[in-house]
Amino acid sequence: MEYSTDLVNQARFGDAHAFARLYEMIYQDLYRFALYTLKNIPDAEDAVSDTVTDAFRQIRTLKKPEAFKSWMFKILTNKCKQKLKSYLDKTAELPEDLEAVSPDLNRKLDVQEAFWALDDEARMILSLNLFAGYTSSEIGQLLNLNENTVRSKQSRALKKMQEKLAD
Amino acid sequence: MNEKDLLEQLKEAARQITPPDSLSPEAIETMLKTQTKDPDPQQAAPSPGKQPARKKRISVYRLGGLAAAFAVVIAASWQAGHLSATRELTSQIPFANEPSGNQNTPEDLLLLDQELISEVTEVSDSPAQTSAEEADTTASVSDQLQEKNIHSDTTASDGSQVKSNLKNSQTDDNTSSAPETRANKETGTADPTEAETENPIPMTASLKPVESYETVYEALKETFGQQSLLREETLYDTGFGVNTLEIAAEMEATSQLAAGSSNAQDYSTTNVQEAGVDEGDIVKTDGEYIYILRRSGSLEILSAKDGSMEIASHLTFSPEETVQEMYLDNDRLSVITSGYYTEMDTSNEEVISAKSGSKTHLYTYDISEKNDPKLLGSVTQDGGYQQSRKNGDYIYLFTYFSPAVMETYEESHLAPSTSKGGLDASSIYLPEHLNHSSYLVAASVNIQEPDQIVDHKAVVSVGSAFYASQENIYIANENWDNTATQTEILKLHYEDGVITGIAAGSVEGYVNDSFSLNEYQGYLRIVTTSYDENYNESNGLYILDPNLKLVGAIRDLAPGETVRSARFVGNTGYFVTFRQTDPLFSVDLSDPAVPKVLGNLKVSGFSSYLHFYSENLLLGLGYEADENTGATTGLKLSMFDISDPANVTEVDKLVINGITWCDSLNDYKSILMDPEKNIFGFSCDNRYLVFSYDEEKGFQKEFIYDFYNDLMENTSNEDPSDTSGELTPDSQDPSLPDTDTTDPDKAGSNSQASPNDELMTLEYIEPDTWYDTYADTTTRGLYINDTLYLVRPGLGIVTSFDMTEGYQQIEQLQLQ
Repeated sequence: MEYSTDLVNQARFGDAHAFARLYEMIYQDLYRFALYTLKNIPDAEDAVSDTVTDAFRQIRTLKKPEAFKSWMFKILTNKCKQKLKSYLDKTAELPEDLEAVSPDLNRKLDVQEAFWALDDEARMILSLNLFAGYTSSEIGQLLNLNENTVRSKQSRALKKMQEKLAD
Repeated sequence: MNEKDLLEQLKEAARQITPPDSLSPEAIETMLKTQTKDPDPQQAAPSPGKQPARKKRISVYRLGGLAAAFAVVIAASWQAGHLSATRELTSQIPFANEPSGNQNTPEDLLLLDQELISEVTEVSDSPAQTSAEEADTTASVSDQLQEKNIHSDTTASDGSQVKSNLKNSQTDDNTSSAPETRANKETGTADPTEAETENPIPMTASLKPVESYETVYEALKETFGQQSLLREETLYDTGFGVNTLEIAAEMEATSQLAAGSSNAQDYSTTNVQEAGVDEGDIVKTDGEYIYILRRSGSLEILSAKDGSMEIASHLTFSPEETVQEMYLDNDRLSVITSGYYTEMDTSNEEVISAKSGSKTHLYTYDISEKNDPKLLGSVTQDGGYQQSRKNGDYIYLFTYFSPAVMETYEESHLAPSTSKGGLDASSIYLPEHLNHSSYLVAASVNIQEPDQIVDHKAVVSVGSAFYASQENIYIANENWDNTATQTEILKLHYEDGVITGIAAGSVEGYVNDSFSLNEYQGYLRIVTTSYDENYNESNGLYILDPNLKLVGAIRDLAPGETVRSARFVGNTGYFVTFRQTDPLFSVDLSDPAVPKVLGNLKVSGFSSYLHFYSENLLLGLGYEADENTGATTGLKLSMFDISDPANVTEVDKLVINGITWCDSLNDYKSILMDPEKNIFGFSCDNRYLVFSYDEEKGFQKEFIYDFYNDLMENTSNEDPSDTSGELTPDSQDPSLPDTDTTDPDKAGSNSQASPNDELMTLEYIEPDTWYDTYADTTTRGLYINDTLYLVRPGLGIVTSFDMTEGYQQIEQLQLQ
């Protein structure tokens, strides 16, 4: 994806329009990543929205325009990690079943259902690969896991999905 | 269904998910504009379509993020507080003008690590904050923050006029930055007297330990608010770190060259920033063995003789820890790892909280017997690993520690610990200005006594750039607001393991990377890019004395451009700015009070890495760019003749089309650089490129290794004659300048030699696995005598090549 250095520079100077143009290029992937990770539509929306707010405030510190996408995903990953952690704290309040929260997600392919059954970490790892295009070593750095662990978790998650799909 | 198909399907399914309207670019734009520009609390509405109840929560979340991001607001108040706080120390700072004798072994001349301290933000998802702040949540968050910060200054000042705070400072004429900045525009140099008396930014302050942790607590809580019980270290990599370093190895060319020539060794060392200050890396060699640190959690020691390799030993680390970097010093090998821990705190029956965070470890081995390394000792310190340096026998570790700031001081967890114990208040430095609630924790270890920490200190704040000279550590914190950016500099002195806070100061603008800072004879030179209220960029060079008091400056250089790389040698500084073309500035720094621009060479493209290749030659690695659009079009090697700094010329260049970005150029430790041997190499798009330079013939392509074809050969026995990735003459672009002088016949290479090396194009090779690229920034090239080794720690592959025989492959070793 091409990022205009000029857009990043303008955004750095507080140009909301320029930032929105940059955001436009990746926001669908941002949202899909958040939704796949969090399984919760309002929270996914929050996470992306919060990410935008943080990113816009900090874009001055982004020195390499080319890194915009990867930088946005890093912020979003942290937002999602926080949400997931907060779920642990108040599990009772949260719908166990995605159907209750997001009926429109139910009509999706089986493969998606199999995906929802994975644990938080596995979903996040796979989503980072799918939407952010991170390598396992980059995912490892983000999640404080070693690269091989990431790879085996990835592999295990996919196996699990395959088993589910075979049922 | 295989894994790849499964992922593909999953991705396909995701394509049907559309984000809600509230996240559309238009809505986001509106939201951002509302947040930033509208001070009216009534209208500070979040994105449309949200329910009131959630609005509040969201605002609070945002506050957490903004607390750090908006720290800039404090930038102005910092000046006031700082000035009034301290000046008494400035004349007593211990300081030696001459660097102490360099007792380092050649290995110590390895280069600095630039995994730069990323600008960090801790965001707390804070339920506890909710109740406290709920009443205010409709107010503009930025206003709240401004008020908070101003309040902390005990100055009743309107939030919109932060600058008025400055009137509290000792020197009233120091108050405004922009107008005076412009006053210097005409001359281009600052009058030294003017710099002292009218300098827009107060430039000096001491850095003193706090009296107690209560002070830290008050300051943090005041500035950032309390944090949630479920706090978490979230360090954002803002692109400042590993990937962004636009480099130029700083070193005294003279000392470097001297070190090289007096060297009996014939092997390469890690490319470090400062001569005499070693940096950790993932691959090291001592001329007989190659040491490889693998992310998978192991250390491999290989014997390497004339290209044939054998595993001498294999060490594994706890799967709970991630290996980071290592140091090699004769028979001592020290490995840095870091891990994440979570502890349940049940001390309070009412609240069960989980404490989590990172710890960093240093393991030191006796490797006198390569097949049997013995662990001599280890130390641990709180915080995620950021940086390290080694000078003499001492390794200095730098980590980020996130304190837990709770509702009360008693509940809070403020003191970081190391193997030496908790840091007491006298070891904590609290700058007047806080831009982040995390601490930078510094600890030192003597590798001869590797089971103890010699000293430990912490600075409440984290840096955006980090530079270690032979005697001092400089931490640059970027602070910005809507009207100006400044960089606060904190200076710590280090010697024989003892770390002492010395001074704090500040300059306009932000630094590109650590190479924008350089210490020489006690003076710190900094190149920054700043912008005015209309967002016009300009660049400046500042010289600060040992107390970080500004003594000289050149402002308003290259308006509209950004610093891309910098490099200093003795009394001369070079730096590259870029928009569409690349002016290479040379600056005379011999009188610190009156720096003078000597020259300004305009060439196409820009260099992002500068290295002194000889006394008279400066090598620039960077990109060719379209002169009209500024878009990069290819990789560019430039050689500048600097024998007359006032009249620098580009004596040769080599452009490789088709490569528009090389990550390894942003990570200087991944570059093999040895002017003495006349060889330099780096990886780029799954290839490893090796060049030399001939005074008469210019750049010589020595070797291009294609990892992609290599993998194809190894995995599928595919016909290696697939030349899709090899050099092809670029017939599409006849417009390229024809000034290059490479003689392809002289260049030995496994790849097809192009008849026109200066007109070559390398196609980008797309990796075809999900998880790995064949070469990345972890690829290291090194040489021992006449053998080149390419080490890929990720894949665990080491390949050797005979440099005397056209880089013919000797052997390839696959690690387990």
